[in-house]
Amino acid sequence: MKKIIFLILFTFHLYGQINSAKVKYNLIIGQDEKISQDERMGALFEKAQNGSKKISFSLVFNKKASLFSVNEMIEDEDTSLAKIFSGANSTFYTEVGTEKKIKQTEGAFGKFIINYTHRTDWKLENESKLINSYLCYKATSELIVTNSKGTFKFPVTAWYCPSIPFSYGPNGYDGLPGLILELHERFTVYGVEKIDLSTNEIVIEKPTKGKNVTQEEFNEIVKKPPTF
Amino acid sequence: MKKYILSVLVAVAFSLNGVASNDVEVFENLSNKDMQNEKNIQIIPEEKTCGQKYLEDFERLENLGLTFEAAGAIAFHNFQKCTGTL
Repeated sequence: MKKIIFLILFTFHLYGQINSAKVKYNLIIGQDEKISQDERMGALFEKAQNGSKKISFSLVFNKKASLFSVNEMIEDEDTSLAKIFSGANSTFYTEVGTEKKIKQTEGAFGKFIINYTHRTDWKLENESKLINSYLCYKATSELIVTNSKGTFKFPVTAWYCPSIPFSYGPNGYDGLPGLILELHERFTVYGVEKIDLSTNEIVIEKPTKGKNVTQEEFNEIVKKPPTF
Repeated sequence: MKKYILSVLVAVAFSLNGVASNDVEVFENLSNKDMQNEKNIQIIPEEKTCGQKYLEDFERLENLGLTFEAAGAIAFHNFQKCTGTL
């Protein structure tokens, strides 16, 4: 009995000392009937599905902020499309205690720092499962996409781990009482591959390189074909 | 005299018929040639510019429920292939 109490206290003490971490996620782009059946986009989507197996992401965080970005890899058409379709061709920066976030993106239109506000409304579910030997619980929400064709809603499911008490996750998702180890968003799935917890403090730098715009301003830029 | 006039008229009538036949034949030949020419005419559709294709792709991707950002990035991918820069 004394040993069990000691183990529980030791675990809490250990996690209480965690100041930062680096988490590696892999990516799977699954099925989407509508896109797959589109005569122009279906072939590109298939390439993205192939490419998703070759890329990974890193989430680095401390007690104040997090940075989520794609890891270095050999770039080809498949991986490039995988990044684009998954929405993870940007670097996401979040801070604790604020809904204000930053996305740093670089592409045809240049390098931008997109300032946006987003809060995910989570519903905590009763289901649980083990992920990489961590006990995780399910939370659900919705991804709402608004463009000039209307509003589209897609389900989001996150598996978070209260024993890693940092409210961060992939692609700028946050706000749960534990680290998100698995995230399902429309046709993409981010799954944890490796977690490196540390008692050291890692400095998380806010991205600054790029033209500062709001999400709405960036949307207006990409609506028109690029000019060279 | 009457017989003479009648025979002249008949001769003229026959000759006119031949001319008419020739005309018809020429007309028919000309018509056939026109039809043949029409068959050889190919209507070449106007080639769309890469910029026009970008806008079409962008709209298509929006209809599939993608964000402005994703639609722009994918449309640009095709734009680069179209311009030969990818």
